[in-house]
Amino acid sequence: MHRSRRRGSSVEFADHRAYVPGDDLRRIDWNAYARLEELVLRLHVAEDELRLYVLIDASASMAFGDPTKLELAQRLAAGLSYVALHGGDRVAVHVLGVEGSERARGRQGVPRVLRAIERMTAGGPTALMESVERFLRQKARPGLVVLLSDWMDFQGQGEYASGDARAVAPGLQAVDRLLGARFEVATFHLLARSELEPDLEGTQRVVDVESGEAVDVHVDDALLREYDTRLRAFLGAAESHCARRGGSYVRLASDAPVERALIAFLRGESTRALSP
Amino acid sequence: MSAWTFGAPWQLLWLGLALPIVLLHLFRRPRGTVEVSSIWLWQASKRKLNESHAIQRLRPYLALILQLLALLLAALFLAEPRLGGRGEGRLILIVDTSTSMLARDGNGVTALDAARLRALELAQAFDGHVGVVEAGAGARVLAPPGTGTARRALRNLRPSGNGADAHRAFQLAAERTESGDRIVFLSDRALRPATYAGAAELRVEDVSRGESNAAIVAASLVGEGSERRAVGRVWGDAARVHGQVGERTLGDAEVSEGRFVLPVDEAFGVLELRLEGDDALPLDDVAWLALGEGRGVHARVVGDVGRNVRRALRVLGVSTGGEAPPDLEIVRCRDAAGAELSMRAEALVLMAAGEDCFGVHAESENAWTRITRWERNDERMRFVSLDGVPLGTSAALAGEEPLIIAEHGPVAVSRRSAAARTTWTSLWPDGAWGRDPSFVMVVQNLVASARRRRRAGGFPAGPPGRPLAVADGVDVRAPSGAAVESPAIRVPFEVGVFRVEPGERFALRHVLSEEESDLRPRFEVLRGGAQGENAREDDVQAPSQAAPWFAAFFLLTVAADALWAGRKRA
Repeated sequence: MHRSRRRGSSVEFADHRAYVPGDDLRRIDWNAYARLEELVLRLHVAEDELRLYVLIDASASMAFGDPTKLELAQRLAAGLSYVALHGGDRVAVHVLGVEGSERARGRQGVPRVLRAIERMTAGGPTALMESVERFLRQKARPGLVVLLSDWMDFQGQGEYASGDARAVAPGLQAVDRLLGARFEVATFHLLARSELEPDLEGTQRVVDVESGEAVDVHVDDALLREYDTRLRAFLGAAESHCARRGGSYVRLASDAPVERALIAFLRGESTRALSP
Repeated sequence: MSAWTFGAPWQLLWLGLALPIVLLHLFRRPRGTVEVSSIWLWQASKRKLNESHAIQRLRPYLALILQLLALLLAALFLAEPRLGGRGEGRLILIVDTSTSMLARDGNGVTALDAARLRALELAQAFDGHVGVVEAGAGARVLAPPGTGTARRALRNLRPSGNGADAHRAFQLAAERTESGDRIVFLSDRALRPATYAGAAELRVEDVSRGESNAAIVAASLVGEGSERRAVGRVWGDAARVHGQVGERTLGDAEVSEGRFVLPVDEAFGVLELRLEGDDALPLDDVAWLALGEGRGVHARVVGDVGRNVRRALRVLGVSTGGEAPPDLEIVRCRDAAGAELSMRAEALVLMAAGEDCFGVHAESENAWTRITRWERNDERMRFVSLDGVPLGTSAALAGEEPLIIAEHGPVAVSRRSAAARTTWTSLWPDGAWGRDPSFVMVVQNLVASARRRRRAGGFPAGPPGRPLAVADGVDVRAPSGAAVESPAIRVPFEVGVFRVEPGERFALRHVLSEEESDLRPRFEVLRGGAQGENAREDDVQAPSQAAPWFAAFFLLTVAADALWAGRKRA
């Protein structure tokens, strides 16, 4: 039995987090409500074994970057799985949008899980919410969900299509859904360097690798400034959303050192230090 | 309020180019295609930018807008817009700018000056729209009616060379006038008849002063040895032709039925033939005959040379002051009475007597002369780029070598023979070209060539036309083998034998055509003919002539722009 990072129902207080619909009403801290006028839950250190669910976005957009975002996701997944399995915990690796998963427990499961992670290839569209719903339908027991994605999922989002950065992106809705299902959620937001600092100029036809949609843009300083502003707003919104919901949020560029990110995450250090 | 009308409304058809330009713009490929994870950020950024900065929306279309604007302006320019309807009346002034218009009256005023003055008077007095058409070696519209540029065009009139294309000038004027308008042709009438078929009233005004003219129109050498004679033909009523070699007067000859014969008793040098008496057009009362071949090399600077010439000569290490340099001699230009001529611009003459000869007849009329003649294959010019140098035109002279006509009139003639070539080149030392290094190169090559030929020929320097000085102990032999014993021939001592090989005889003609030399009025207007008769477009420089070039250039620009936009990003 290991002390889980999951907030459980033991007597040892761990933390507060904001209430979300579906939470156990018995765990609401009414004293805190009296002081703060906000519904928060008391979290306690669970004394059961850790269940680690690694959800990897392997959509076509993850093939960008050098190394690609998918390669970074694979390395992160492998590292986290290795640590968990060596600690005797349970690990399940899911590829978002694909039925089934690779499950293992204990050290003997390490090779199988690593092979499964290595076999992943990028392709297809991103459908984060749908994929999370599919994951939840598997009746997984609550545990720690590590979501590895670039969150480039704006399909059918009128607010986003209209440029409203305050709207909730599908990736963030998926986090809410997982939290509501009593999962602890850690999100790794993976980005390619070319997405953070696009090296384009002149008139360009920009094509969405997943949908095939295209838009002609005249790239100049003004457009690049606007792009950067909107990108920062999107990233900031994602980070603050996770913080409000009590989830972890780590932002990584695909060319960032994985080891440092893993160690910082396992130590629970500030995610901002890792942000690109 | 007056409405805008167009002198050449069909030129507005160029606006039809707007359609292919827009289509090219719409269908041109972007510079590159880039795949991204999501286009949302780009879409949102573009939309936000377009909403906040309206000018940003136009930015991708900036090239298209500029092209369409340029097309519109060019089409408007070619269509000759003017304020006011056609009913207000127009006056087209056709000015004869042929060389004969340089003939002066007793007060020294040229016929061209008189025509200019008269045209300005007419333009001043006329209340409608005035246009100017030039009838020179070519015909062209200098100022379309209604553009307000007539007076400036008249002030800038210059001689344009031999002949006046009155026929084409009438056509250009007729295209810009209709019934009720007026056309005035100002000319000395020393040109062939021409046909006019326009609807507007045409009047010819004679601006000549009725001065008679005489000209040497042909000169050459005939005979051998002591039988050698200079013969030629003369226009007009000249009484005498003087021949002179250096400072020796050979004698006078009565002109009989337009022909003259002069004795020549000199073997070498340059024989100058000059008509006696005052002429309306003194440009053509002189001709030169080169006697012999390869008789030394000379360079002569005529007049007080300008700053550019001095600079060029200093670069070459040639002195132009004090003691006469070996290759250059400074002389003053004097008129027939011996008085020094006042020249507004100086002329450089580099003269290699014999095989090659360069020079300019430097009189005040020639103040405007510029470089006008060169041989593309001439080795002396091999380092020189003549791009940007104002050049004259070349007109065929029946049965002879091309007559070279400068921008402001004829100044040079070339006659090619099997053994020798004579080229006259005039330079304008104070022109813009004199500040160019290529000017120095031209002079350098001329001098170097002259020196090389002199070394090859073994003959010493000496002013052209002067007797050769022969040192004691040196035999000079004629090609026949006979010794030359003339005491006038002296050359400095130089070891070796000087050979004398009189080459092919050749004559230098004056620079005017017979038509232009004969200033007797004979022009008349022939009525009739088809107004739309095919014109010789090659000698017309009306604005409409620029249209095909403009269209080609414009389409090339648009195509290049489209290709550049479609180029894959490196």
